Amino acid sequence: MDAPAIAHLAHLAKLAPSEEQVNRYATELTSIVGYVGQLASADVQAAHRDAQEQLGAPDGASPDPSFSRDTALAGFPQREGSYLVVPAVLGGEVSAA
Amino acid sequence: MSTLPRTLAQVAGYFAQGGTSVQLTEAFLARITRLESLNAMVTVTRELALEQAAASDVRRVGGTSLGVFDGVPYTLKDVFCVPGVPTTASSRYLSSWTPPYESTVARKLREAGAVLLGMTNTDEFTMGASTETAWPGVTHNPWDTSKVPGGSSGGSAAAVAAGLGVFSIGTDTAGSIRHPAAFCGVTGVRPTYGRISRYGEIAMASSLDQAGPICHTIEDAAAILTLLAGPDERDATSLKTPVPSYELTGASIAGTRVGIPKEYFGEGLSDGVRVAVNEAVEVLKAQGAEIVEVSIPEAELALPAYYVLCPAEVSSNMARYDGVRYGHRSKADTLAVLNAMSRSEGIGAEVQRRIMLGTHVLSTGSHDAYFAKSWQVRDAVVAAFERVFTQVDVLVSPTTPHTAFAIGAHAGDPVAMYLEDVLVVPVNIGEICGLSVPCGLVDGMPVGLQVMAARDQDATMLRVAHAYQQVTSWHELAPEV
Repeated sequence: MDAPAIAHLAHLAKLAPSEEQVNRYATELTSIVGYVGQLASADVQAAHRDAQEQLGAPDGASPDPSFSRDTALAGFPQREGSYLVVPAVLGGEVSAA
Repeated sequence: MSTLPRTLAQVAGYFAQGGTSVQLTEAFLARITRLESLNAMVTVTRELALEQAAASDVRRVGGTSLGVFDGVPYTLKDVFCVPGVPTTASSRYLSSWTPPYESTVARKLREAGAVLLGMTNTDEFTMGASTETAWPGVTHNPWDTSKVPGGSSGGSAAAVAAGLGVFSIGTDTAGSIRHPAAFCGVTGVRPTYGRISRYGEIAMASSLDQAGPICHTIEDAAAILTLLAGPDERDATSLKTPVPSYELTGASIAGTRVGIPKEYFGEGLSDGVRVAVNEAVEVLKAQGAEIVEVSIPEAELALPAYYVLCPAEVSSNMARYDGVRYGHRSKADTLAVLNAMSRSEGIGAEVQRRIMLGTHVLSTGSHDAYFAKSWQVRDAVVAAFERVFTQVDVLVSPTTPHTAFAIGAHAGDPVAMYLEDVLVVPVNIGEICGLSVPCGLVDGMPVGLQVMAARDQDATMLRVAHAYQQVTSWHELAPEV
């Protein structure tokens, strides 16, 4: 995995590594992908289970009554009243070095 | 060396002789302060602990004790949400975050009267095998402070080994309870997936994460499992089947079929660990167990499959840390820059590696070759364990190929660190249960014996490990701190 591939992955993953980090991740991820590459020669024919099959129950629990809306809102990094404040939504895409 | 109670039974004895929970809690808090340099704790909940201890003493005096956990000081890995207590996953990203709600694990312990001493260190978001990726820095192994405690629940294992609380609750996604338990000479149990609710437990890989006890004896582990196990409507993956009895009757293990999987004793296993584990097998044999050599070649594929499936789930689970709703937020003029900068500043290198690896293996060109293939391998490992557990009742192996390694030994080599999980991860990928108990010392460092059983046969592995602890004393050793 070369630096442009890492920069693309970082962009998809919403990360902004420095040039030095991109180069280090390229070396490390190449090593890791090489290691897991041994799976290609694994002779396994079992069917791929659907993740849903593993659920023990529908995800339909009622909200946790132990804490209030205000308590949840208190964790917002920036707020105005009960609104969550974020900067402009449009523009300013970040690209990895 | 700690002279404080190490087990639930010893605490009960302490109370029976007139000791109070406040006295006991103060003694543990003093020890935590004295051994601060171990860096086992991320947060110490001194006021909460003393408040809970005082309430426990009132109940005991009034004859309304809540049972064996009432007044017992313990610690939680820093991934279980406790309202009002910072729960950081040892990440800079969550370093100033306080959860608004309570994890099921914390709630059950609170309702049983247990006294929370604080939160223990972990590899960041539980990703690692040494606690070296923790934002608060590495935890030192109390047996030799130049060595790692293992991980990711290294803070919990070090805390229990050093006598900073009677027990701790860790999590095990790929061995993160058993690995540090082995390195620190304590008992750690990873129950069957789904047996303990994950509600309020900060997620790494949700199809594999499972909480469990780290303590000194199987007897205590069984009691903790009995308290924590059970269905939870807030965790859709929690098992709805009746919780089996974990009661240890002391029944003989004569005739129990103990499988020795030859793949676990291959290249890379240190001589000292091999000798200690073989001696443990002899102990079981002397107790009447039938020793059977078995082969599980598929287990060797569990580690590479894990390092596809785990990052895939990590890349999804970590998407919530976007700088918007809680945790670390960078200054930025636009939302896209805020997302990327908050994540890059707040999240460490190992977590970023896994996010990108997961993004890679889930991308269009790689999905079938990596992700789908890894699920096929997981199914094959599951089937292999199902097959072998028709031949034997439990499997026994080393927990780790060697004893604790030096801090920094795997720096810059993520694959070497991943290989630390090689003997523990088949339990998770094979969807069975496993535990580690101390079985020896090599050059003064503890060795772990791993006992594994089929899915939902936790009671069987507990019975065998308990029988082992009844006739050995490795679990009674303590480091000189």
